[in-house]
Amino acid sequence: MSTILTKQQIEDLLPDYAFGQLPEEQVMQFEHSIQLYPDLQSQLAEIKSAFSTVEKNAINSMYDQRTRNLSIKVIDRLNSRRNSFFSIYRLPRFVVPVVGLVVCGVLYFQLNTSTPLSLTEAVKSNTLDIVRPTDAQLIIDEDISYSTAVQVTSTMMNSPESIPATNIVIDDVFASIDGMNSAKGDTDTAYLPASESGDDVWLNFTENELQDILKDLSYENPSVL
Amino acid sequence: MFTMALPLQSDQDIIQEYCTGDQNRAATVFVRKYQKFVYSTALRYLRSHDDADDAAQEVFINALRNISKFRGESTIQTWLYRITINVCSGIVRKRKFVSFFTRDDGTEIEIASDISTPQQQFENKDFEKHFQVMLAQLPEKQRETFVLRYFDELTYEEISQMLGTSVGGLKANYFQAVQKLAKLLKNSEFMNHRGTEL
Repeated sequence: MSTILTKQQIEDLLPDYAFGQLPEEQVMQFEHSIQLYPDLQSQLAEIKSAFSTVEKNAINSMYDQRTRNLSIKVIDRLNSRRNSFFSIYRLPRFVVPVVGLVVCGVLYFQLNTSTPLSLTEAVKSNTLDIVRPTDAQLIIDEDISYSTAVQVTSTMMNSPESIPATNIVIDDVFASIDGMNSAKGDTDTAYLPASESGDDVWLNFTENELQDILKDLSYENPSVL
Repeated sequence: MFTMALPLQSDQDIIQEYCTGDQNRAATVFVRKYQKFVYSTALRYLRSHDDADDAAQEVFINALRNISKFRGESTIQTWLYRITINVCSGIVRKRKFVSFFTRDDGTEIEIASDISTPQQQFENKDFEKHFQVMLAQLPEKQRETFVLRYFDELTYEEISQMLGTSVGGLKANYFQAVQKLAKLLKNSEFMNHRGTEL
């Protein structure tokens, strides 16, 4: 016994029934159910009548006609691609990018070797000119050891004539060293006394005392220098 | 010794033959099997026979070059449908790009033929052209569902895979498309004239 389909179900099956695409087992059920819906019956009749003018085969034969040489064209193109893969005309496609890559590589190495010394190396080779207040901070940012920083300072203090814009630079270096000392927290091995009264602390030392301190520091870790 | 090649019936046979045997033979069988489907799909998107022809060639070349990678998770037809849509989208994009620079409106719909045919073929061509115009009036989902079900006679499950729509939604789309087309056909003078001739 077949169950009655709902209106929605009939609508879903209606086009397939109209075009003979409905499976055998559903045809009876559909025909039985549509009796209850006269509006769907008239719609079915309308669809059948309208599509009677549509010749599916005519459209299909048009496509057949249009595509009759397609396989030949495709195979020709496939074969021509296969044959041309190693042809001389294809050579520039590989050669140009390879040459470009080689040139880029050479340029890259050239530029790399001509780059200036890093800050650490410059300080070690005494070629660094500290001319701006920010240079001191740069030394700290570069993670230069305490001894190296102190060495820079001592060099500047030994030869004051070589120090441009001296006060500001030295203050910055000393302030940074103070900061490092306080971060280190070990007062015995601290290289310089923590600044309690700002920049004036350096004025309390005599020239000889400063020289001694700096000498001690340079002996303490000579490997860094 | 003369050996006779076995007919390539299933898609699996075609793929195997293409990968390990006679490539040209397998490609011919493959293209002939699906050419109408690919061509008609491309035509619906591009609305130009020349572009559809180019697109169909491109689709088959792409498909055959990658056929060894086909994993069989969907049917070949679903796979080809996706490739066709991608290729057609590329052509449409290129067309828009060109029309931007050439001040062409890009909506040219050519229906020219280089085939000299008898009267019946002319009539069929006119009918096909007329029907394509009516199909173009449908929303894309409805149009695709209608064509894939009515002309290509695919199952709802296959269409669902291609369009990414549920089977229930497809049935509703199909019904609406058929309703709209029936109305258009009923009001069409061309079809009425044709109907009296038939």
